Amino acid sequence: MSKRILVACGTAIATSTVVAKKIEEVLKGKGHNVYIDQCKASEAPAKASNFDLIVTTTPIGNVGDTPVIQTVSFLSGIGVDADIEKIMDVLGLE
Amino acid sequence: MNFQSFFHEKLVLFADVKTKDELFELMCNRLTEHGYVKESYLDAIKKREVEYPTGLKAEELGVAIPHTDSVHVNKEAISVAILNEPVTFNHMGMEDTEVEVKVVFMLAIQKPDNQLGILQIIIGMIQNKEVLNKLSNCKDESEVLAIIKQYSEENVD
Repeated sequence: MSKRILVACGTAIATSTVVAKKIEEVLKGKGHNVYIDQCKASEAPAKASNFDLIVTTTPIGNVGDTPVIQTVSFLSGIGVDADIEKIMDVLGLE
Repeated sequence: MNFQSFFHEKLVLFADVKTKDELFELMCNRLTEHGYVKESYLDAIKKREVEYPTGLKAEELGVAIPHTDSVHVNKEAISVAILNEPVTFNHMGMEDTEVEVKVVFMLAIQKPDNQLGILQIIIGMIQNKEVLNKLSNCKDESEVLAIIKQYSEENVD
């Protein structure tokens, strides 16, 4: 089953849309199909349990056991490779 | 991506402001004046910026992408402001971190899924220091649009 990633930002209008697409493209390029959904940061705690990983551009509340990577690298362009490595590491992808 | 439907010379500003609220008022007024957003957009932008800051430190310059919920938008558009002197924004996702912003893209967006192309162009420009530097040194509206247009044509999927 493909891994499930939840991408969160403040309004789910701009930044999570771009971040979700970027992660999807990069992982696809490495041969991994993942399921990605996006939401507002405030919705993340309620949705978290259905996902293997949360990537967020802004701090989020308590999401239980689901791992969280908070980063703006996919927007600023600084530190993207390191974050992709982190994401693959958390998801156990190679 | 339909460039013409998002960018307009009348929505490009060269701003001489001291604070981001002053800047928001200028940009929002311009958007409201031309019917792109509702009166409520300004307050929504200000509140959203406090809760979820949109400043980004790019490789060389600071950029900001203020935006808010689509209920405040009538018609999609992007306003661009080039600041004479940088204005201080809080940095996205980093509490207590500030960034001196020189270029601002204010996004009036309704359906993000349909606007992926334009959002990718904006983020692409933020990650491209040459384009950002060129934009920050622009002197007139048509020059700003020409740079964005050229970048978007070269980077369409």
